[in-house]
Amino acid sequence: MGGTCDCIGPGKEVMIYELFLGNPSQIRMEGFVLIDWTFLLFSYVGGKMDFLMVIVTQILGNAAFLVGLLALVGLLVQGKGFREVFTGTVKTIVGFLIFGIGAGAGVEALGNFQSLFTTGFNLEGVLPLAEGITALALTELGTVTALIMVFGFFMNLLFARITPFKYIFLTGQHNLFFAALLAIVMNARGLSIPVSVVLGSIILGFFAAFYPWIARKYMNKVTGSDEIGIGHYVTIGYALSGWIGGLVGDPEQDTEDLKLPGWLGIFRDYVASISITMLVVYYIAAFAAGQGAVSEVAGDTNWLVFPLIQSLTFAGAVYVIITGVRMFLGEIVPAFLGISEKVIPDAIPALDCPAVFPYAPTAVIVGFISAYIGGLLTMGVMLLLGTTVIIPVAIPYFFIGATAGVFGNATGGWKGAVAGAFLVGILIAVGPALIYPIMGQVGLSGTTFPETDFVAVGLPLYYLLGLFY
Amino acid sequence: MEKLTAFVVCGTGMGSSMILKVMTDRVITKNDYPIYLESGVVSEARSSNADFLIAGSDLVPTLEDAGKPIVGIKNMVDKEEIKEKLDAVLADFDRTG
Repeated sequence: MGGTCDCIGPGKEVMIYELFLGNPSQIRMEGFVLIDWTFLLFSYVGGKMDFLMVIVTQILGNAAFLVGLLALVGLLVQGKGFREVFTGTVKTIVGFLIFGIGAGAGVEALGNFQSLFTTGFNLEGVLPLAEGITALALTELGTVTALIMVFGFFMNLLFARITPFKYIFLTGQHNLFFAALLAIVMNARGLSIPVSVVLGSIILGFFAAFYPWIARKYMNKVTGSDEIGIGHYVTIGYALSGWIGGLVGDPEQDTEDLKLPGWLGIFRDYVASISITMLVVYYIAAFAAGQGAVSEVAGDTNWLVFPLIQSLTFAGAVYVIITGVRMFLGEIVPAFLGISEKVIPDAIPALDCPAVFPYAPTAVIVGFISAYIGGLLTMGVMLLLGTTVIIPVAIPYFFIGATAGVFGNATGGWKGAVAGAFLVGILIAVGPALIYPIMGQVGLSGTTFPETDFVAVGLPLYYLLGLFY
Repeated sequence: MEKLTAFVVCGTGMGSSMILKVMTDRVITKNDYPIYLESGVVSEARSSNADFLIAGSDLVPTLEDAGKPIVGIKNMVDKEEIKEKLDAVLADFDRTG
């Protein structure tokens, strides 16, 4: 064969072709032509689009690919085979993109609801739903959010290692929501992306280890052991519920001794739950706004049919959102679990709220009802006072109220469940009202975060940053 | 030996039972049980071809109309509980030993 030059060039190309094709002089000609065309193509592309910048900004700068990269690394670290690594990475990216599709689908229905509500009541109506506000935030702040979530996980490991708060937060979607909240607050104060990511991941990592710790005493009362922590960012609410239960009730009068209709469990299903809520509130807004206003927005659709379609469209959008979230968490959470077990073997997993439901299934229902009543009463007060109206959405009220009920029941029986959940129901109505203006700063409206732990960090952070920025 | 298919049911649809699936998977691997795991939401569980379902015990009433045996787990990180209940199900399907 020819020379031993290692550089890319006509000589080397011809040698490779020689292996496969044969006739050197003919190949040399074809080789040259191929090289020429390739260089021409690259200079065209490079000149037109600055090829490298495209890779950096549009691939790595795309949140979906970032989480895909995390999944890829996690799968490789776990020693998975090519097929699993490939499908796992693709599912993560596609899941994230599906999440975005759901966001787009829900925006219009939500916006129409808002305008009808404002027309009807002369007040702004807000439907707090972490899935909703996060989906909206991702369209603008996707990269920062994804980076905070990813680095926040590693910060969680660090803080679990060096502090007495040995919890690893495994509820992926709540960390995603927290990352979105932090991204929103910091963006509202104009922080740059690198600073946001560094500060955001440190805050997320710290609270991911710390929040489960504050509820540990009550979690122990619920589960009977210290094996698991509660990984749901309403820990302040749950600890309060546990504390109140101890004050007002008797743990012997367990909710599990009560018989309640089981059909209320329908609110556990996301699609059923959100459909019912949206149908009711949409029709109320439509009637309040009147036929004229509705017809304006509804176009050719009959004004009574319009709310039906819009509310169910929104329910569909939420289903798409949670399907996307499930898909990309499906690869990332096991990776987190695997990595954290290797790095911190004595870490305590902080799990999603359904982990406590088996310990008191009736308290789940009692808590939901009690919390929802608290939310409705608070909404009534807001309507009377003429402030922004927080409308209680069944999904967070189910899961949060249910968990608060379980915690209240553990220390105070059914009275504790009722009292604790009622208080939490009020907290998750007042809290989002306080942080709603910050969402507005970033151009987001119609929804916000109900979770107490987010408000407890987001609000002070916003004002603290206000001193510097 | 033909493997049984178990469907791990998620309560929220966003993977709150992912931990249960991971723990169950470990119990299966450690004890070399002839079980293949799938997972999904309640509606998917009902229409699946699985031999039995695994879920948090609070979901059991919702799943009773699925017509399949249900393994209800109280503590999803308790491998002892999972092993005990899987042993019982395997015995029912006559797959022990």
